[in-house]
Amino acid sequence: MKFLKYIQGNRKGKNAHRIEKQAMEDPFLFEAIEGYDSVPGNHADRIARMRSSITARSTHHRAKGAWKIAAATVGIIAASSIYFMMMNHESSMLTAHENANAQITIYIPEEYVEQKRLELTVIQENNPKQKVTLEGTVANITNLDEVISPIEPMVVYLPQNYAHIQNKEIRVLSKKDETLISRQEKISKEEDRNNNEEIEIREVINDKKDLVAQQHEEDSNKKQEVPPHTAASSGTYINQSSIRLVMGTNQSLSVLEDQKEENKEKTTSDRKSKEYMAAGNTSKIAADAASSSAHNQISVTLRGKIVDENNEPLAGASVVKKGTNIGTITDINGEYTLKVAPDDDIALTANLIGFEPIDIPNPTETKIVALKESTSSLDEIVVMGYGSQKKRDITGSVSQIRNSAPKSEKTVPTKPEPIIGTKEYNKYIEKNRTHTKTKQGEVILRFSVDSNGTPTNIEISKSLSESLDNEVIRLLKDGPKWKPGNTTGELKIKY
Amino acid sequence: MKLFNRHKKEETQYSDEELLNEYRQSGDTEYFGKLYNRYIPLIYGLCLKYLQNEDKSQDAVMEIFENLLPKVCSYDIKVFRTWLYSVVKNHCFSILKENKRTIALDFDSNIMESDDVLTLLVEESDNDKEEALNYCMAKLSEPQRISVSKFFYEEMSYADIVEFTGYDMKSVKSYIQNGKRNLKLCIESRLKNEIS
Repeated sequence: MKFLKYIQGNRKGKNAHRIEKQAMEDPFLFEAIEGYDSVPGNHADRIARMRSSITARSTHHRAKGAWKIAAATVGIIAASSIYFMMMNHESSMLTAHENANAQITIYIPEEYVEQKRLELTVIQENNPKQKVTLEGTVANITNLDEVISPIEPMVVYLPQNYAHIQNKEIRVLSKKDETLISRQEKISKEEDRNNNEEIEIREVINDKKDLVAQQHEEDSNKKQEVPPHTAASSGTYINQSSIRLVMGTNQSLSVLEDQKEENKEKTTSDRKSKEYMAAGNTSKIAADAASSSAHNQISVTLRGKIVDENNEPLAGASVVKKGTNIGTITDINGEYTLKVAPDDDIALTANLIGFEPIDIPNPTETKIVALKESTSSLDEIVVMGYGSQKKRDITGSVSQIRNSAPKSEKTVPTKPEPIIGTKEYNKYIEKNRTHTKTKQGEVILRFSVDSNGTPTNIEISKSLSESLDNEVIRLLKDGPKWKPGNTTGELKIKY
Repeated sequence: MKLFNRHKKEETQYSDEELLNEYRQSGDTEYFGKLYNRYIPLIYGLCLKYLQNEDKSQDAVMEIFENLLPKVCSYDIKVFRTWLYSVVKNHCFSILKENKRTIALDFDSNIMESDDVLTLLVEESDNDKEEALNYCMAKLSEPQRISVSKFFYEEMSYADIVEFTGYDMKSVKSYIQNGKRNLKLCIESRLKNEIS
């Protein structure tokens, strides 16, 4: 765009000349240039921004171009991989199993695994005495036989500083693993032979789910922060930098020694009751349990108070995690509570209309935040709606009510008056009128006054007799001029 | 694929009116968005001139778009450019009116010279006019003559002329403006005299 360059100050040479010459004939261009010259600023930047918002506004309803589809696909894959990871998605496994040949390949970014590992390490370092329950493992699923009978034994990773404390558990865990695996092998073989034995699978799933659920109970009871499942295996698999999937159904469970007995009891007793559950429900419950436990596992509650410069609490201020739409609003005491994932930086932003927005870089320590009153006054805020509209609505004409109804001047009704004044006019009437004794009463005329002051459109409002009416009309017509008002004038003559 | 190709074509080849027609027929807002995007530099500049504020101008640009989007189809628009110009101008005026600000009207800038002189200066024309032009050019004051000839004959931009002559920008602009006007008057009277 040559014009853009021109705006930016690139005003030499023939291109600039051409624009200037064009501006001589084109007032639009001419005035636009005047505008740019009169107001300094980064105009090109603004123009780019407006263009992109216009584009967004006018194209949002339709995905255009292959890249959008590609982006959507990537998004779906990413979302589903996280979902699988977090939810131990059993139902999909079962579906895939039913389809027999289905192949599931899921990509999990290495960074995610690494991040989870770091989180786990931090939690362990902070609470060396806290027992950390590990579950889940990573498997590369190409067919469902592998899901049910994994090729390689499951390995649990623990950071060095923790491993020696927990050796015992790991051993227990691997034993338990083996039993699980052997059972699964048995099941898969059996199932190949006979589909009716499906109930057994369900039983096993129930079994495992009970454990999951129980862990969840423990979590909530003890308010432990339990790391996500992936952490367990990251040590093993990151090295190979291969991308695997967390399998909920194949959890290797390290259960605390003292709770193990209890677990077993509970598992057996629970199993009986849960066997009655429908197959569909079981996976759902497991997913629910897993999801809620996942939620508990990774959240930090931030509390604080937003005040103004005079330390008065500010209600209704929005507190949002930076760069996300996770946020809340302060209550009547100006206090907020916000649950967020413990990322590296949980910076918050506090916002309230009429105040300058403020960043809270370290919300775990900051408790009271004062907002500064905005220097720009409230009446400068312009609310613009760039809302979306259904296509259906815009193809027709959308009428808009504009507040531009002709501003009717507030006028007080004024009656036409004789120019010479009422008193003088009465004198004129008295002088020129006739008197009669044949009739008693009055004649009333209504009329309007034209711009020359002459009464026009004379109507007889009250008649006495034709001759008298005409007499009064003659008096009015030949008499002094009137000052026009905005209503009809009236002349009353008594006889 | 057909659809994609069509989109590619429209970016560069569709005229304003064609784009408008496409929008009118298909109701696809994208067409109007494209059309409007073409004019954003002009619209924004015009708003800047009257509103004298970047934020207000930007809001006005978006507002005008939202106003036009549903309504533009119902207008009978012959030349979109001039139509849009008056729409934008009116919008700015109504904003100023609402704020009850007085508008500093620069009458000079609103006067657009007729094309006669421009075409005279740019194109070859018959001998009489050519002669009159040369005569009148010679009669212009020196700064006017230099500015006009640099601008029209040597295709220099204002900034080029400023650099070349050392006049300031405002004077260059007014030299050209006034020079053009003087030329026009002079040529007209001279041609009339010759005929009579």
